[in-house]
Amino acid sequence: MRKFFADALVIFEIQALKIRAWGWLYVFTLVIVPIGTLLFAKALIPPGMSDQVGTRLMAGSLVFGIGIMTVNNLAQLMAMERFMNMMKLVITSPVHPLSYALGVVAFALVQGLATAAIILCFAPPLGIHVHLSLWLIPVLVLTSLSMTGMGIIIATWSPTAESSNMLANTLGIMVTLLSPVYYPIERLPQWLRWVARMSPYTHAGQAVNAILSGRGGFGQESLLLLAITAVGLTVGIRGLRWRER
Amino acid sequence: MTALPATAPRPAGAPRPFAIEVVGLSKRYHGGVLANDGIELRVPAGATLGLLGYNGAGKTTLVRQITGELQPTSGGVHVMGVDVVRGHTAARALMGVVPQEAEPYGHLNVHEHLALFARLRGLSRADAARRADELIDSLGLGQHAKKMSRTLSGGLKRKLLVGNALVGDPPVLVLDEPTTGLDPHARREVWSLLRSLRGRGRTIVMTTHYMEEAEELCDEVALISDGRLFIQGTVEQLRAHCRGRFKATYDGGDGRDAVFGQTSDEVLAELARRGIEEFSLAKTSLEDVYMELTAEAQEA
Repeated sequence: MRKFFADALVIFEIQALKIRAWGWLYVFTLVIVPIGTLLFAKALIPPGMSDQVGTRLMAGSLVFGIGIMTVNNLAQLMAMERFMNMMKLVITSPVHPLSYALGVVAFALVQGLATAAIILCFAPPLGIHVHLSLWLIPVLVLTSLSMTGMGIIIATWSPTAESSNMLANTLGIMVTLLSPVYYPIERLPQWLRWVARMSPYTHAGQAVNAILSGRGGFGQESLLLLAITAVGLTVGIRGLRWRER
Repeated sequence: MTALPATAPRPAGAPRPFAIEVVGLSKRYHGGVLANDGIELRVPAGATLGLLGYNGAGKTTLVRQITGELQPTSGGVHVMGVDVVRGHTAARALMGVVPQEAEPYGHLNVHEHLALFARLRGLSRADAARRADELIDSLGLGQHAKKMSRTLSGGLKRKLLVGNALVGDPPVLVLDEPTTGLDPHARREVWSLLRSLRGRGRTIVMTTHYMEEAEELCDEVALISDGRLFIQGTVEQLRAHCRGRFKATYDGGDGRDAVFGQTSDEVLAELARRGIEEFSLAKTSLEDVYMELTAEAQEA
């Protein structure tokens, strides 16, 4: 057990040292993506928005910003390591595949939370009033983890690096558009509502919105998010392809 | 045809005398290609085995199944008694591997790369750093220790990968073309390191296209053709299967010509019969053995 977590920490360190290599480009991406999401959403809202609209806007930006920084980056990171033959060095070391998964997911999670922190910093200058609570942390962690299972499967099963990137981006866009975070679910056609209800981002958006509005802590939406995250992570981890068959 | 005698069935619970045992190993890829067909291979503990074969013969497929990177279609692999297929994490703790196609993490410098992978082998931070220093020294990477691995030449990257395989000081090393891309000086540095490991009782399996390398380093050589391992033995044993243990080359007017014989006297007699006075005589090289036996295997 000790080696399991020690190995995950080493994998996390290997990933984290990429920030040193990426330098200003990494910081730029970390800042621009979430801010861009927030400004784009705000631009769609007429002037004089109510607090209710503002928190929904903030919730949406948090959820989608985290989604882009975790799932897309996770899938691309793992795919790059796999297709550039770096993952072979880990596969031929005495590392349990779950240690590797934990290490890369932890790195993706840290990026997602950093993104969330940057978005929240921009709430006051944009005139958005939010209620901060410690419950926001576990909900944002679950939001980040909720789609990582799918990211793992895409990265380890795609036949090429290009298809992995395409799938990750397509999935991200699809989930983003079909998750009624910026708009009520009633605006979706009936047949799409069941898809939206299965999307973790739908429940994440509602959970985050409730917390930012001061209407609740870890409520029903958060429990649904927890359940979807557990299923998604289990499927992703079981689907992690370690050895070629 | 194998030069090794068949071994008696091993009683249950008896210790295995071989560091690596491959039994009836076959691999059929999706699409139907049979890359390995019923391979039987045993590597004694402390021995160095060279796997030779033409491109596409199935060497890397075999090596990847030994290291657990690739799952066999049928058959089994045991390393130091551990089933590689069922206990692959435990088996990999016993092996240091240089994969044929592998890239170091470009954003890590040489020291970081070795130290981090040493920690994946269970070394503490301090021990891992010390181990990285030792390997940098023995591999001649001192002036490159703080360079990012993406800035290294292909040959230096290969050296780094050899170091990576050695960080945990494993009892078994599996090296897939470890010196490809290295200049002669660097290759000899790696040979020197491998010789010292051999002297310390490490079991080494390596694939190589350099016959000189196999002759210099390997106790035994196994030849693979069309996915089948058709012969394994010492270079002398393999020579005995050829048309001659000795070879003389001379200028035959239309280019270089050769005479083979089981003894040097036989060769000299034939040269005298042909009236050849200027020639060079040596034992049949491994390259000659390889060319002859793989051609025979393909014809068969």
